[in-house]
Amino acid sequence: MAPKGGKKDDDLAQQEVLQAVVLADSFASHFRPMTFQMPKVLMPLGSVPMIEYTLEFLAAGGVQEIYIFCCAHADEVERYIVESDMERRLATVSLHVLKSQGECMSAGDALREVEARGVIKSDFVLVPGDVIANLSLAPLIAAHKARREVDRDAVLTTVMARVPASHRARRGGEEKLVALSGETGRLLMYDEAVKEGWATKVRLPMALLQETDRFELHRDLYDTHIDVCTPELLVLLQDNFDWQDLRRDLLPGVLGQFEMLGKTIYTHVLSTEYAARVHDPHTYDVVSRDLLQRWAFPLVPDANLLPGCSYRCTAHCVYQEAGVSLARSAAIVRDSAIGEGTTIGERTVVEGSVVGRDCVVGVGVTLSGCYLWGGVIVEDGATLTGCICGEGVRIGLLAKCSAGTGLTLLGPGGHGRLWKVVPTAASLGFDRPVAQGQCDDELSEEEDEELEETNLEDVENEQFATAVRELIRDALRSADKDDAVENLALELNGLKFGADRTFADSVRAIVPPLLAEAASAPTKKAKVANLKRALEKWAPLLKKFVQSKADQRALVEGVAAACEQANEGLLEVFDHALKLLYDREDDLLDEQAILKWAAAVEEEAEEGSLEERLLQQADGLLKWLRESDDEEEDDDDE
Amino acid sequence: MPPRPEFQAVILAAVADGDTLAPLTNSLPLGLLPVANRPLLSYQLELLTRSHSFKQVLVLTVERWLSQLATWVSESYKGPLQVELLVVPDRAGSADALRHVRAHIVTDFVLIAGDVITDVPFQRMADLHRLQGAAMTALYRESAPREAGVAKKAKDLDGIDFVGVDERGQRLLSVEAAADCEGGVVSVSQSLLRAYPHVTLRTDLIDAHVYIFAPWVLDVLELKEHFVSAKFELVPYLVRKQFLSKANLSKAKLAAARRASGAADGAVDSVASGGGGAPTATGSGPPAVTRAPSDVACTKGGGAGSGAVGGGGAVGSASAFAMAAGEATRRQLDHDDFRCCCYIMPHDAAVYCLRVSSLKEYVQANLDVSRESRVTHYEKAEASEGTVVKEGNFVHKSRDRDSTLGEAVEVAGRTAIKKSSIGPHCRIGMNVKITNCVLMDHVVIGDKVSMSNSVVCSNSEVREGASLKDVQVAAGVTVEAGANHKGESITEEMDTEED
Repeated sequence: MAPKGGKKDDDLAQQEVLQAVVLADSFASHFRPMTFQMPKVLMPLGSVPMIEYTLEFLAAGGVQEIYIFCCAHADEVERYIVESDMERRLATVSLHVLKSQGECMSAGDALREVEARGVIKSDFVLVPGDVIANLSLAPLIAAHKARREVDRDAVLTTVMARVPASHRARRGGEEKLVALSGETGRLLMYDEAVKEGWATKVRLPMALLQETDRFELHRDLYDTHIDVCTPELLVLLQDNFDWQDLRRDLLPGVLGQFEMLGKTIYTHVLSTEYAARVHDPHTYDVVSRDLLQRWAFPLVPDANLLPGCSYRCTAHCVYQEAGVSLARSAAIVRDSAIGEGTTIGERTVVEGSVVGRDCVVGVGVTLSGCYLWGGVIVEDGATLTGCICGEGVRIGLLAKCSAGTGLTLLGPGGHGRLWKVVPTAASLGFDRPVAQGQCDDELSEEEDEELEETNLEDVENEQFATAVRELIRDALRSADKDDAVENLALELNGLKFGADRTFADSVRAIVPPLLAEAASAPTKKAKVANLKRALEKWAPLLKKFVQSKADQRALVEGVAAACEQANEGLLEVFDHALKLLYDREDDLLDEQAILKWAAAVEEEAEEGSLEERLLQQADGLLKWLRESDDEEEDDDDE
Repeated sequence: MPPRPEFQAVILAAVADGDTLAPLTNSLPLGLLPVANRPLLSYQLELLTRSHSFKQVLVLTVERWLSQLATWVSESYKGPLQVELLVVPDRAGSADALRHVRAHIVTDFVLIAGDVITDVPFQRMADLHRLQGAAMTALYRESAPREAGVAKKAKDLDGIDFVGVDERGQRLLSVEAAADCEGGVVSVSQSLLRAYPHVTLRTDLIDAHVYIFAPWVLDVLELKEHFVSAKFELVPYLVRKQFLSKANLSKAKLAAARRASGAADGAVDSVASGGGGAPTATGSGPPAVTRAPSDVACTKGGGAGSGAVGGGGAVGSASAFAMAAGEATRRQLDHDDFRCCCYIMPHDAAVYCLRVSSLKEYVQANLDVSRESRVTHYEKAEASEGTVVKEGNFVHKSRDRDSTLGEAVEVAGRTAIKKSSIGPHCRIGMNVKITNCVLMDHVVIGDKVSMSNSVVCSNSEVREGASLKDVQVAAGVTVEAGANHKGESITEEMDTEED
């Protein structure tokens, strides 16, 4: 067993009992299909279920009472706690399992329910059940209490670690901007916007800067999700029953309503200690590797948290339990752990992987960055890269599973049931195909399907564009009427719904016919004038369809397409068209969209292609935009 | 070829971005304004002398003040520096002035505003500049921390700069004057945050108006003809350009590269000659220097090397050199990068820095220097005790230790002089109370005058019984007996009053 936090911290012991709440549910669905059958916190990480690490960390930090709050699979969590005899193992801690009784959709709901139970009596530590950390809680809590002495309104201390934005521990696209007061560590700003939505400039209201002499602006803070909360926070959550997420709702809520609520939040920035949370398969991979590489010491596989574990660490961070049968020519390269009763065949290479107990890995298998839980069978010649295989999964002969950027989750129990995580994890649920059958065949089939789908897409777009073109041609004839824009918008909208197109698709289809007329003018000057007239008239229509950044991009593409049609008659006024759209005061088109389009096209454009010429035509405009993007007031086009 | 000095110095003795000291500067150039009976310029010259890095200094002035300054330099200046007076056009801003004297500047140069009194260890600032191979290093003073938990009022932010520095407080990442923030919003560019994910925006730093520039910055000035002020235009421009497209710096870079290839010879020479003195330290140095592409990085690498070796007395110069070599190598990777740095004077260090940019600060500067070693490292110019032996002169009885008295001052009995500077040849009557005032030379104060927080310029007279509070009296003016003035400027035309 790992060293226990038995060293009695006199300071804490004399005061009231230190409590902690563990949220044994992440209220997310990143680990489906695994989490259909088991709670996330019981998923093995390294060699033991995740929650072991969290509880061990709390116990070592001197927590005396832990409340484990469960929603999904509550019974299983409870059973595990009881059956694994956790309370006795942790010795210094009394464990209580709280099962959710009502509908609990978020951490906010969970805390509201905890409050209702009335078990929390003083400041407590709040941790999700999937946090792995080796930081020492005592100084953190002491600092929290000291701050409470000074500032009675401090309701929360969050713990963040300094991790560069490009670090692998970051979830893809996870970007946040945090501002702290340099003197006190008070949280002044918390902005979790996605990258896309960020302007080129961060705008800070002057009022924030009055709070402190040293305004620490961080883009490198990683949220460990470890919080030290006060009972007041629970009351606050009770009052603001619409706060769901502890980060996205609670933090902006408290910060934004400072005038009204008068509550403050402080942030403790870790320097050397390890703390990370398992959010999704990617972070599962990262945290597993950190564990194997001993970053979270004393939380390492050979700490053997569970009774009956017998991992020993050998060179290159390779861990083996007793009773592993390893063929002579099999190679365990590095950063791997092999559980008891596992057999590994000849010429098999295991690298950066965790193989659980009682697995059978055949001959000539390659495992790289894979996590095989218990009883997995990998038949001869299979190659697995970046997979998580649930209990009892069977991987077929010569199967190939590779995951590219995302990790492949293989559901437990099934025969090569494949669950592919689409890289764009933000997309909707139905975008994730679930396929049955053997892995190797499956992947190739799927690719074919995708190919066909894109072709189909093109055809549909073409049909839609034709319909739109005809509609607009009719409308242009009767364009003199006052309500022409309204009518056309209505009809186009109908068409859009009928064909199930997005706004971006519509914009792409609408722009070319609208501008087509302008191309007929003989001179460039006349064309510009025509363009101006056309845009003046139809901009309100476009405005209705341009709803997002993506639509703006589509608008640029539409203009580019317009230039392509009509014998490229509009090519020479391409930049004028963009400029006219850009100059409009209703934010129809912003420079980001144009620049992004240019950047994308620049990469693909071939020598002498239409895109190339379009870029050349718009060269001056792009330069100018880039300049003004830099907020450069000088005119440097000399 | 005589060794090229590492740094040149430029003092703006009569060039300021705006004139806030009127009417004091009506009859005197800024540089000759007496502070504790010494001209302001002497403080800047002493700062440069103390750092032992300078032989020559360029003092910029306008036509009007040339003769006065020239007289002072030739007759009163006793220091070792060779002072070269250069005339720039009237009403020139600091950037204009630099542009004008461009031909005289060949290496990295220090730009000191004419109104600065500081005893910052200049060597430290120069070390930072060398180590970072900076394009610009600015000097900032940290103000004392305010009480914990007390938020500033909105008006406290007026007139300050929002200074973005990196973790170590060495790189200057953003500068924005509060006055320039439109709509009460301070903006920080994302590109900056990408390069430096942790930026500290500080509101407690005060620009000391002392900068070190790389010589190619002058090329930028050529390019940007409309820049008037170094502080308000050139510095923010450079700071901003660190992380943005270098496209419109390219011309300047080209010119800089051309100059650098010339300058590099000298710099590398000095490394080679200095290399013998510290063989172990230079072991890693020269390769890095010679490998550097022949652009700005090269001069910087060379400059850094020669500086660290030459200033062998500086703390940790050997390790500093190793770092310099490392920096040079890193700079090779992104050689079109340049840096802006800042040297921050901590508020608790025994370093003095004040800009005499307002009347209040002028009086404060007088007081501070009068207090001598308790506040600054400068000495006041004072007639030594016992030299005035005139009968009935109570000059040494009536003063407190926070005051400065010039030569041949006559003071009648029962007069109290507190926290004040009295210029040479002043005559002060009986029963006079002078608190926190500055009297320049040849001022006559009648009996029973009471003055506080006031400045009286040369050859003026304050007659019997007058009472002055927060008043500035211009040169050669007579304040009538019994007059009562408060918060005014009294100039020659008695009737017109200025704010």
